[in-house]
Amino acid sequence: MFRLRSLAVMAGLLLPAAQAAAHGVCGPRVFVTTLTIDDPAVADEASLPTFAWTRDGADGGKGPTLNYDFDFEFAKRITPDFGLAVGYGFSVANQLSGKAGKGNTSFGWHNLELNAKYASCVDAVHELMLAFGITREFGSTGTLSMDAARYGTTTPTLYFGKGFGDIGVDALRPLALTGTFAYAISDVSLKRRPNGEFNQGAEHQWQGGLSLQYSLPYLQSQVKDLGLPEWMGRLTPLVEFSWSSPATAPSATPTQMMLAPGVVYNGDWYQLGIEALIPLNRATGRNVGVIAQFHIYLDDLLPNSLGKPIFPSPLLGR
Amino acid sequence: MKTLFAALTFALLPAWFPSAGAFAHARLVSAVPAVGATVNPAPSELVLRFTEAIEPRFSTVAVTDAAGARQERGDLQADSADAKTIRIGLLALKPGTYTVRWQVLSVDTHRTEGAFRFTVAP
Repeated sequence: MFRLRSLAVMAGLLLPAAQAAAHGVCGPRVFVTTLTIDDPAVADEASLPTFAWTRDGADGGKGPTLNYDFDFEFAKRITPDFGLAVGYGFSVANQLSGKAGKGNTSFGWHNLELNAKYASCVDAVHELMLAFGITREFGSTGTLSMDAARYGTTTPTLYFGKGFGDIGVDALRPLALTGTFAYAISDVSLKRRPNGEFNQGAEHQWQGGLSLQYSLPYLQSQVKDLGLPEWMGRLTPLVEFSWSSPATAPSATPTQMMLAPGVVYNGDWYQLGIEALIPLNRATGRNVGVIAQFHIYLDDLLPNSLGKPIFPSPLLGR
Repeated sequence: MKTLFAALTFALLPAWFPSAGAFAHARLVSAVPAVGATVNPAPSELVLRFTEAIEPRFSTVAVTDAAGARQERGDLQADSADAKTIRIGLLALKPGTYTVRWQVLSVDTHRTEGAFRFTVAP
């Protein structure tokens, strides 16, 4: 139980139900949509879907479980600097062996998530983006038997993105760093019952992540045209790091850390991304997984309808 | 097999939206002189090719020398044969490094910007 619950909590942190993601244009910089952490931009976009494949020990059994997660997200700008995003998804778990028997497959929905994000700073000159937001996970909207949380969680989050285009070393100018820092507040605190078992609440958590991106589009158009084939000039290799740790005691979920190296391809109106999921400690998992995403930029696809803010004026009249 | 199916699904997803490519932000595809290039002789015009058609009336291109003096002629125009390409004449450039700053409006009203340098060799 603990293993799968840990994975489920990690999935809640890592997978796109928690993403408001974005079409992160900031002057000459485009912050790509990261797959395991949220990015700092507010935009009209959709992830259809984000797919993750992981393998881990079965719940109560000795054998492995293959987990397939499909997450869908739709993000809409209300004003140019304020947007809402809704995320939902489902999991398929295929237990290969163990108590439940070989080939046993179960299916379940993740909890519904809603994110509100406000972009407080978009500095094109310094390629700097700052935003803050709040994510609400609605408890019991998913399949409890598949480890969807019974109680909800509210997560205030800070987002940032910084391109290195203003530093003096040409080879490093395509680099960019994005990140998040969050505090997840559970509706019901985790408590240990007299019999020693935990209730179905959850501890509060610190959560965060970083992505380091090397943009070949930026290299080709801003620094040095190396004559790369056009498809290669649309790639952004990146590595993402995400982490969560308990902020209150008692806790049922220890510190978890994940590394996700991969690459993103930017089409004119869509993005394809694929990364490896590498657990950095035993509590996160023992096996390398894969995450992939098909992401649509609605401001490019449908610029005169879904792809523009509902209200044209910034929220705070910048 | 499931993994292969998922991979194929992802690879083919863009094909489900075949008519969408005309609306994207304009990205610089190539330039003459090329981004970061060293050239000789000095070019008489700058050519920028983008991923989308450009509206030259609402676009700007500035070429400055190391002292910040403007070196473009101000006759920015779309290429007669390719709406994704814009051209601007240059003054007689002396050897040195030049900075190009462009800001363009694509025909779907998305605005993008960028900057790069090129060098004229002695």
